[in-house]
Amino acid sequence: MSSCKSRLLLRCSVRYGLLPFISSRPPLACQRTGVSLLLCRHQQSDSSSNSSSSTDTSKKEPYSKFLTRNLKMWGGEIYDRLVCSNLDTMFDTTRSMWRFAGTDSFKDFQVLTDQDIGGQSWAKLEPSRNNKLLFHGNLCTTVPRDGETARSGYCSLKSKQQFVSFNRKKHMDLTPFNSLNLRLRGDGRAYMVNIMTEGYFTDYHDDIWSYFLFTRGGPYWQDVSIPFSKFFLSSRGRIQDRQAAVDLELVNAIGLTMADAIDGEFALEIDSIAASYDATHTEEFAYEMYHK
Amino acid sequence: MATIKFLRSAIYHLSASRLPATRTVLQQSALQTKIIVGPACHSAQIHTCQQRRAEIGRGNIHPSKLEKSSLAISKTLFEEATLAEVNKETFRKVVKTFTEYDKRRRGHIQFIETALRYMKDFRVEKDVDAYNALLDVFPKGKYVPENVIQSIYNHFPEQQICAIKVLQMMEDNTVLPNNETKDILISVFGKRAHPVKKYQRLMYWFPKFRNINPFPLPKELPTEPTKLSEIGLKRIAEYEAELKVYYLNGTTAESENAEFIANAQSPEQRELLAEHPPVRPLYVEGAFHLWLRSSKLTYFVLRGDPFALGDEGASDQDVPQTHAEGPVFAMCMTNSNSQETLQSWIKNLQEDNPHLARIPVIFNLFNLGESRTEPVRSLPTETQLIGDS
Repeated sequence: MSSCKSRLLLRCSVRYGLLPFISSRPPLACQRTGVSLLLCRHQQSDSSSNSSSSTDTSKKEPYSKFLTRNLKMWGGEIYDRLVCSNLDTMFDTTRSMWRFAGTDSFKDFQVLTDQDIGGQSWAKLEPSRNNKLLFHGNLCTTVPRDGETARSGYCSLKSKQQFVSFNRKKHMDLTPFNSLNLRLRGDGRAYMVNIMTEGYFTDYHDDIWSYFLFTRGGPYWQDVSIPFSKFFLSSRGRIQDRQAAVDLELVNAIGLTMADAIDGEFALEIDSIAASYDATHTEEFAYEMYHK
Repeated sequence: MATIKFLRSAIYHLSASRLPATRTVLQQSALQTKIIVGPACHSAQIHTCQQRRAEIGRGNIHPSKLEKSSLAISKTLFEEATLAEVNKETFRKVVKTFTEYDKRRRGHIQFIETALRYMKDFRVEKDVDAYNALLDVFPKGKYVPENVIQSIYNHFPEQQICAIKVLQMMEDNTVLPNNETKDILISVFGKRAHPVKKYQRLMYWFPKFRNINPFPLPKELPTEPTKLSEIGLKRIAEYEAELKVYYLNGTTAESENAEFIANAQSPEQRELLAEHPPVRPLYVEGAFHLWLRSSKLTYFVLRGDPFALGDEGASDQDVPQTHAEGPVFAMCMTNSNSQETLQSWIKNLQEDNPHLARIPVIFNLFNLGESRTEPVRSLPTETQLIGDS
């Protein structure tokens, strides 16, 4: 029992920035955690994205059923927290977030293209010939003729927002790690890796941290490791002057963007996405912050 | 929100005016403002003067008094210049002609926006001097804010947006501005204007990301397909791989539209291939694509089957094995991508790899995008065996 207690204490202290190696994080992030746990601000659009039940989306779920399901989920979450079921992986230096094998393994991902704004690019998510995730399509920079759009041509792959009980957003906590590892096989084009985090204020909702991903092309797999310190902040497609390191405590989604302004087909095969801790990398943020 | 913004910029202006003049460029860029980007760059309405066009043919190209005072001059100027010769010099000449037409430089925004459209035609879209010449069209000193109020509100917004469009075009064409650009922008708009901020952002981020590509390419890619495929194969093959170019159907390296096969194979791969048991077929797979900037190359791979050598028990464990890939033995790029060419590639490979003549080769050609209905491991419908059978 005492060991369980100490685990809980450790977990809480890691979470709330009480341990020395975490305490350099900005204090706002800690406040945000508490607030987002208390408030249920986000309405979930369809109930089927909850993994525990596979209800028909067209039929409205009765309230009693919704309550039962969510209470059960909530109970599970509390139980998980009490028994620390992730204890065996808690101190790992690597966490494999996605390892792709077959169609089922990429149901967490969605594809967004510029067809949403009237563009002509397309992209698909398919199993590749050796059953990995193949993100391929055609990029077309033709600007839609709506009279106001100035530029077009993007295809992006994004992990879906996950939800826990009572339609609360589920966040990935990547604070133990300092680099993102991808194993992939590309076609020589440049992509962009994006990290979307939970922003407390409305102004922060469009914040995306990104970095470039250069692919080698060819038949050999490529291991890419990008330190989180290299990710720079942009909002609505514009790099911000006031930069900040990515808030790894509340990561909503991770994605890839193909938008290198070259018309033509692209193909990117991804084997796995993982986060890892590299003790030799000590950089906290790669860009200057003059206002501080 | 607007009040906060107002106050912030007011305080900034007051504090900035009191600061010493030796502030570095990067310190200025740390202050954030939202750029107001105008509508699409093609929104400017451009007029053409039919009468004037007709006069060009008659050799009468001097502008009349009426035309000098009209706004409809810019497109005509560029159209005329494209009739003669398109290069950097003519572009500069057109810009010079416009600046000398009218002391007041009436319609210069329209002229600059037209010029941005014609830059590609004049092949100056990668030339920083051309952009500087364009920015130089703005009259100096007129748009510099003189007091706090002017500085807080957008002073001459149309002009600032136009200058930002020029800088955005530089950004899109990966042209790094130089000190001349800065001097022009500061003398036109003042130190705190949006175009100057845009310039500072370019100067901050461009050099940061200029050399981060771990797979660099030469500045100018060669146009000959053999040279291009050489660069491509060097990029995707092993470090020790040896490149060899075979010419087909009697064409040579000098002849135009030479039919060639560029082949990359490392000594290690050759050894592996020599040990390959003849009972197991090899696969030619493709076509895969490789992009070198904006040029797309196609390559094919000669692979073994997915099972490891001498590992008989491995085929019983089905799940991980079925999707594994065999070792790569060689890669090639051709200009025709047909099966006949690939067959002659295999024949040419047999010179260096005599053992290859005893191994059946299956051509597994596909398009990456097309959907498959067959399971992953099935043999392709079009099979072709080469070598003695």
